[in-house]
Amino acid sequence: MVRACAAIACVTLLATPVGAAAQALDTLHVRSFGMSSDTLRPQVGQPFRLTITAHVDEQIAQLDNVTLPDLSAFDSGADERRCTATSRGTDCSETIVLVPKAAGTVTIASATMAAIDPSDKKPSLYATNSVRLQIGAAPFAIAGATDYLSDLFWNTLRAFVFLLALVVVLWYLLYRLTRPRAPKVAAPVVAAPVPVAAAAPPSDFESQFRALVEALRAEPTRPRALAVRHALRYALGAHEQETLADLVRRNAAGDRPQRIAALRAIERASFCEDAYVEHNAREALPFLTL
Amino acid sequence: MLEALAATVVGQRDVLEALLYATIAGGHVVLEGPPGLAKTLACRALAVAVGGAFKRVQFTPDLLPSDIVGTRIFDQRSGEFTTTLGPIFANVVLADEINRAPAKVQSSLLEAMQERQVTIGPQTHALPDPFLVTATMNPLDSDGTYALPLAQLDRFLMKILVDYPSPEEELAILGRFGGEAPAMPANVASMDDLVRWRAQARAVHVEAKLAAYAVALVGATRRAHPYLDRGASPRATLALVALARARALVDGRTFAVPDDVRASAPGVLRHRLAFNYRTITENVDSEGVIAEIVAGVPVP
Repeated sequence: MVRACAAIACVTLLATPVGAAAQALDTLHVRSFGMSSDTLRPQVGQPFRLTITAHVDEQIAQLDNVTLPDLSAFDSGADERRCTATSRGTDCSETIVLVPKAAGTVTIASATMAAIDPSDKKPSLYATNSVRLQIGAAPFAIAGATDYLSDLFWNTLRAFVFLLALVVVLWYLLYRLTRPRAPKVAAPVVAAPVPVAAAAPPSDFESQFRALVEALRAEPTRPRALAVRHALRYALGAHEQETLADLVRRNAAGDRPQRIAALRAIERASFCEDAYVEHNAREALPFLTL
Repeated sequence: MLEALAATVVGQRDVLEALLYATIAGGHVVLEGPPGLAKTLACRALAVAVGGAFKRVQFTPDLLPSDIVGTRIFDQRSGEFTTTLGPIFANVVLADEINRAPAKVQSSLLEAMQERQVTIGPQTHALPDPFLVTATMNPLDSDGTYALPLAQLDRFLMKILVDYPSPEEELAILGRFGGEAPAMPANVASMDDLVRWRAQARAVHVEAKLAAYAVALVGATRRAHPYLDRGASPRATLALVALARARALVDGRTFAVPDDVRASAPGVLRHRLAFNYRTITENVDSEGVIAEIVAGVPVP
């Protein structure tokens, strides 16, 4: 921070009677009262801090009756007031953030404070030093250049992205037109398991299901049990993510609850230990009707 | 067993079932829910029902590892150190509000959970068998808590969410307790029974297709997901199958079915998935994310 001038030297006792306001004034031993700026060369549009400081012998919570100078040449920002008690009195400060409006030389006049001087018990007006500032022009050229460069950058980037997308699309179309086509292969015929789907079973489903059940009856193995289970799930319109509990919960069997009983029975044969597959499959057979 | 627990704890049927499954599966559980929902009571009732020694440790920020595992004390008369075993030497240990203790205390407990033994000074002491840790966490007061890292949460077989009872259940609580301390359940089983159940559960058959389903369920959590940073570990797959076996056994079966695996999935996954910041910023229900992942895996 650059001090505008030594604050202590600027304690000015004007000894000006304030008269009528005297009764509202505090009695203070004012040891210093000054004003400073954190820069003497601020720029238009660039904030800087103006600080008014005072030291009094008394313990006070805040400094009253301070009149700020004319600051119409600036836009005012934040204002922070602080009083700190010390062993030798109180240090008070008020910091104002100011933003210069125009370039040129500006002198901020003194701030004043009215208080009763304990030495003569009379109202006095104390004044700080003034602060002279040399306000520089706004860095418009730089700001303008930045905006220009920014616009240039984004426009270039947009054009580049557009061209890239165009190249990708053209390349893809070229690839589709020129790639060798693979010969069509007939899908392999899978006898079992029957695919599970939510669609309604086809008309010849019953004969297929009976064939699966007969195959299970002839040879009760786990793969055949699983095939019957898949067919039953298909008949119930089960989605591939649905478990038996889901089907029961949503009453998938509707008015044919024996289908759930059949699914329960064949589920046992499908997931039980190897030694019990045959037994469980044979137990399930009586339920396996559509 | 469930009826015995239900005689003490009103409602919370899902919680009691999950506790029983985890006990049979031989894993530790963490219960999460607001205060006053009978989390502690359920754990105590379980210990009483199986006739095991029960110890409760209230986790606080100033708790030390020696407060849990035990310590060595110098005996001036004999001039030797004697070992005092901590409260962890019980069949059912309730770590109440586990997230209120600092990491070193959580680590000491979780090491014991994993190794099933504790080293105090030069001696290693085996923990009682069966040994079950039930930990509780309160999701509401996060001030002054130490969240358990995922690596430590992974040691828990499952996480059970405890929700508020229905109005009917709350009326039943009023009628049953009325300000008195709840009566503990009858001792319906013994530690030997529990050991036998665990052996039976381990023997429950899991068909190859079902094992593949469990692997696929856990694997689905590792695929790129907008709300997940990291999926579950293979330990989750082991937990899933172990819990499916326990469910099958409780249901009176010697083999597991797809429903056993899928019903176990949320409890196994919810504390093992690393949800990213978007679940918080977009106020996404993590249970919904898990349900969506589980529902996306085809049933065998």
